Amino acid sequence: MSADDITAGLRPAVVGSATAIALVAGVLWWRNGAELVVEDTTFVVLAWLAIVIGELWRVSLDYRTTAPLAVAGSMALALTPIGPDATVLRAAQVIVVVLGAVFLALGIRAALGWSAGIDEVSARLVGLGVTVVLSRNLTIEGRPVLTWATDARAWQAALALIAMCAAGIFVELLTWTLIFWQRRVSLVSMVREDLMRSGALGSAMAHAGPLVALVAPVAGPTSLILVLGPLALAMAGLRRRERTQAIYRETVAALSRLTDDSGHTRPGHARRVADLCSAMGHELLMSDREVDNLERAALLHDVGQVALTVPLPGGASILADPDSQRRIAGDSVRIGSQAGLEVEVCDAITASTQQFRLMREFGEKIPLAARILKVANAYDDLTGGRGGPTRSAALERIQLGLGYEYDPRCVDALARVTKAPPG
Amino acid sequence: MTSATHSTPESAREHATRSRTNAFIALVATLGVLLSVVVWLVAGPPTDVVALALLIALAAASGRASVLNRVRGIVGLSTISSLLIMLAIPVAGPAAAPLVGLGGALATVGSTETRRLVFNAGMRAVIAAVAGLIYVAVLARAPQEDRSLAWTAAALGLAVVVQCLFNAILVGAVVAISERTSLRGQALGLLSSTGLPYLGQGFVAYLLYVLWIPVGFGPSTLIFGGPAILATRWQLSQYGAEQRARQGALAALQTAIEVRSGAAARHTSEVATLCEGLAVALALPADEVDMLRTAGVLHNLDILTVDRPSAGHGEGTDLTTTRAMGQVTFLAAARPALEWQRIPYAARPAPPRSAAILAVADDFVLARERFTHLEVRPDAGREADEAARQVIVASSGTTYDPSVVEALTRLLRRGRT
Repeated sequence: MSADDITAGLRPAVVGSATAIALVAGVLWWRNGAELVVEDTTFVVLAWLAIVIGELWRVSLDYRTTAPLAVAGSMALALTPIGPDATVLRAAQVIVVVLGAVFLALGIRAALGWSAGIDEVSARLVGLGVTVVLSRNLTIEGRPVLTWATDARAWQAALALIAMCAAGIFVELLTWTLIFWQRRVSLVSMVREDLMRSGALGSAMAHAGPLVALVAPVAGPTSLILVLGPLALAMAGLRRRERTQAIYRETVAALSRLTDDSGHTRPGHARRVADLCSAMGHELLMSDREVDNLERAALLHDVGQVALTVPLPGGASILADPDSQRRIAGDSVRIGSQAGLEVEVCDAITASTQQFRLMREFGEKIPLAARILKVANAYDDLTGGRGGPTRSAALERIQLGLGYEYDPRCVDALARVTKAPPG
Repeated sequence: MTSATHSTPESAREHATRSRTNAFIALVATLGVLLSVVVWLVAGPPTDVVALALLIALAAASGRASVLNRVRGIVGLSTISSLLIMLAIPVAGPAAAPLVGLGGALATVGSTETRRLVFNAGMRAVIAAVAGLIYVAVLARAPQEDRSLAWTAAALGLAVVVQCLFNAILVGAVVAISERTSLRGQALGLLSSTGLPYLGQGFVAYLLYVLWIPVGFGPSTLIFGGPAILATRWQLSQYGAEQRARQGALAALQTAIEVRSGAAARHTSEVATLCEGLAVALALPADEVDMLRTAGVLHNLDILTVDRPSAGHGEGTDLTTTRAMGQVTFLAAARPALEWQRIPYAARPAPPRSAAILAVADDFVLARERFTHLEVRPDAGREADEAARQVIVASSGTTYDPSVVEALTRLLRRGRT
């Protein structure tokens, strides 16, 4: 069975597991009289609100989203002694209370026309299930962890509770990673990358529930506000990071169009080269990150042409002499590096003016991204963005420089990705 | 061999500014020492030496690791010194707070200019001591039997607000003196950009206090409360990252102009700086100051078009290239200023204030360039400034907004163009 088969079957499995947890909890709660006795109603209401707000205010970590406030609120409900005689709620009660908040949030999301994200809600419920079951069944010194924690030293209790929470959050993350696992990338490295990406936020989520449980006996329901406050700060930081990334993306896109608007290049040249590079990069099995860098290099490879008071014919840098090509690339790098382009991207732009033979004959290091960019740029310069008959003429012209000017692997990839679809 | 130095009005003014700045820094440092002694006498010595040592070490580490995280190009806002100072007050006693503040500042010895170091150390001692005194004053009003969490929260909350105010005033004052700009504009700008982060740090400090003493974590709070501290610091660093992304976008555009024409790049840079200076002089909010700097950079972008190889400084521009830049969300805010820049002040409807500022800045720099070319004497710059100002003043109320022209005159008097 391939990784893709596992991935295809995993979404229903995750939703199924969450449904099973919900059903079992519902039945158990019903059999026990369907009652919910709590000593601190305000605490439950605040935790419930945190879950609802958390499900409405999700944050994205690249391909996956998470709801830190909802996770922290659920974990706090699971670990804090708010039941009769300072006991914790029963497992079924925790699940039912959390489900109530989740359903309310999903209803609001539906009313607002936002996506429900059933996969991610299910993954969170599975993670919560793991924490609830572990915390009520594991024992230390012959006593359930939660009972032991009430007498232990603060730091010992915190360590034990954080471990319970971290286990649940790790299961949630693993579930997500499996759903998005691609065959080309090792699962272990993907999990590692996801853990790094979650970083401070994941750690803050794992700490929040246990800290609420430990602060609540001292500060009461305000413990939720106190502990979840820094988490909200981190989420605000994430939002800001999204805005920062948008600024970088928009800046690169706008700079890439600068030469179109100023009349130096044919309209859409940079975008077409970037699309072509992206297709060729995937064809040559580059990683997603490498393809992203390649795309940025392609978008900005010609921006240096703004220095020209007399534009090149058709904006085709392939027609310029080598010195001019290097000057244009140099100016592109000067402009791009100010906009935050990474070193690899700048290197790709600089090296894209070099002939392939330097690598073959003298062992010079020319990055694959640069070789792809050189071929894709030549193709678009020669076709002017038109397909059809010009495609074969352009390919023929590029093949004349095969092995001398252009990398044969890249030219093959170009031929494959520009092949007209059947019919 | 001797070298002759010519004392010009410019260098004399620079010397006077430097002396005033040094005097202010010395005053702040002295005040820091005095207030630290006062808080020690009022509240007694630090109550927990271990906590004090740990907090000083953390403040020093935070100070060393601090990434440059500038707010409006002036102030670093990446350390969590405020958080640690606020935590020190209830955990180690009010007298410990100035020591923690000093620890954070002195950790940068060797990597920070001496004047800046002395100012930072003095300023942190001042704000920590004032916060400590406020804390003592509030708790003194609490009934002896009810020094509850609520009273501590109130005391810390008030201390944070006062600390934020003092920080804005002291930093705003030193910048206003050294850069010869308005104190009000600097202080308001700082308050609007650092106010929320300060409150956030105060909030986290209170959480850490609750963990440290009432819950009983003790020094291990710094481990278990670590994610909260990191989240606060990370959130602050994101603020700087966004600022850097914006500055990077503008720098890229300035470089694009520079590779085309050095003269145009100089003009662009001067207009952007003057726009910013006028906005600060008019006490505009921080986001409008940033927007005007952006407008200053963008106003000359059409020089890049191929059919306008020697286009003159935004005159008669069709804004094609500039409009394209409007796709960048944060640059789009500058569009009204650019589109209304050539509309006279007396026209109805009148152009927005941002356009009026850009018009004055652009035309003043243009006029100054013309006059500077004509003059070659040592103080030509000063005379060109005055001649260019006369051109602008002559059209005040018709072409130009009088309030902006007045701000320009004030800036020129301070030698800030």
